[in-house]
Amino acid sequence: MTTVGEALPELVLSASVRNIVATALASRDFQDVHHDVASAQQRGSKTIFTNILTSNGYCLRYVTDWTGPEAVVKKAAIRLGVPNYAGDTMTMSGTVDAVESLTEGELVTVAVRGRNSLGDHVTGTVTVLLP
Amino acid sequence: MTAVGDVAVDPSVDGAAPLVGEAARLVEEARSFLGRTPGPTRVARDPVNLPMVHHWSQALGDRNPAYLDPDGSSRGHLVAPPGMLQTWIMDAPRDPSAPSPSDEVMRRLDAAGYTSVVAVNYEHEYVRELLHGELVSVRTYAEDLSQEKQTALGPGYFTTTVYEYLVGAEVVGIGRMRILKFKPPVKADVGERVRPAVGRDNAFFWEGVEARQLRIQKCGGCGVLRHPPAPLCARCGSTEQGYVVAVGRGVVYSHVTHHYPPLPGVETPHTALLVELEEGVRIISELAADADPADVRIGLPVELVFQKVPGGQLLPAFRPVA
Repeated sequence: MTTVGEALPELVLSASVRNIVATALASRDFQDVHHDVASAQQRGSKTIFTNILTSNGYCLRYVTDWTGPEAVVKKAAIRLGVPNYAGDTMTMSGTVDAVESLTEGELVTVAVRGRNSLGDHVTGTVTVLLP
Repeated sequence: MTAVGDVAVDPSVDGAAPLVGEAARLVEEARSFLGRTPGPTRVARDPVNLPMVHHWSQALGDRNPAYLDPDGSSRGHLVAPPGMLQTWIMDAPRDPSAPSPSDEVMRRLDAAGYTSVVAVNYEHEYVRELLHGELVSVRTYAEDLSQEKQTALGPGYFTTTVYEYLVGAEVVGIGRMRILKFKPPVKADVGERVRPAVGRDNAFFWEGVEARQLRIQKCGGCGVLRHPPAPLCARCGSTEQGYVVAVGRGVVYSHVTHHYPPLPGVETPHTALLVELEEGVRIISELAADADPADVRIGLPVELVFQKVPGGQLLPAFRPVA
């Protein structure tokens, strides 16, 4: 049984150049701000930064790492804050926000947060069904 | 693209400024594309497939067995990582002659001068899990468009694009991306720096600057060094004078960083330095434009550089010794 308020173990994610470029391309996001430092700087950013699909993917991964493979992801709602620049480190943390008992299982909503040296890069909720 | 006039803002109305002219017409036109009429359906280039899942899984470090091993969960078959929903249609071919309603909104905001974009919210309902071999398609519509908002990034509009993901006719996921389309702030024209007043007593100094030398006046009578230049020696009273060229090293004796009010030709924050040169005299100068005011402290070793200030005047400046 999952209880409201239960904390998930933290997950530390390196925002290395390699990770930022690899994740952007793996999500088929070829925008230059995710792989080309000069272009990112020309557009006013410090350097390249994590793309949105990846930030969302990290939130889902963070929750399903904790639940295990039986969980079915139903919803995710994330809010984007400060950029996750190359060279930084993002620490994911989370707390169980709501638990609903359904006939097909437990519907668990986790409040997640990804924080780097600049502040909150991503905050939001991920809802999974645990059969 | 049509020429676009400036947006007139009524300063008495915060956040909901009335628009006039071409920009206002474009934004109102953009509103006419809001609603639940989706644009053309775009079909993914590739069906859900294991090589792309492997690539994603490895890049994000997501080793969930449900994505990688058919026996990794009680499902008995592989499912796609839900986070990849948009990935499947990222390079789905577009027909440029058939823009979607959200494309129409973006085009008008671009034309009205709101050319920069930052995503604010990214929300998904994963209606069901995707199976390998399924071909995903997507159609989008424009859900809302705010009034003009004053944001930290500049004035702009929030707008939401809804993505309906389909397999055949079945809706398998709904995505909502809320973005801010904003006008990037124009770097303020700070004007030109006041030119130095050059006279008989200090001409040698400014000629030195042009030659990229920092010249210190030397009394022709007693040999004492002095700065700023003066017509006679405060120690011996001599009017004879020459100069020496400073080696260009010193330490910060004092400093102050100016933020406000604006001054002609001065980009703020601007750090004025009082530098004690190795030769023993002090000179008022400034921090080099490429140095960080936060690094400045009393006693900091600094070295001389020459830099052009707004208006083109060459001036001596100092930066921390690397």
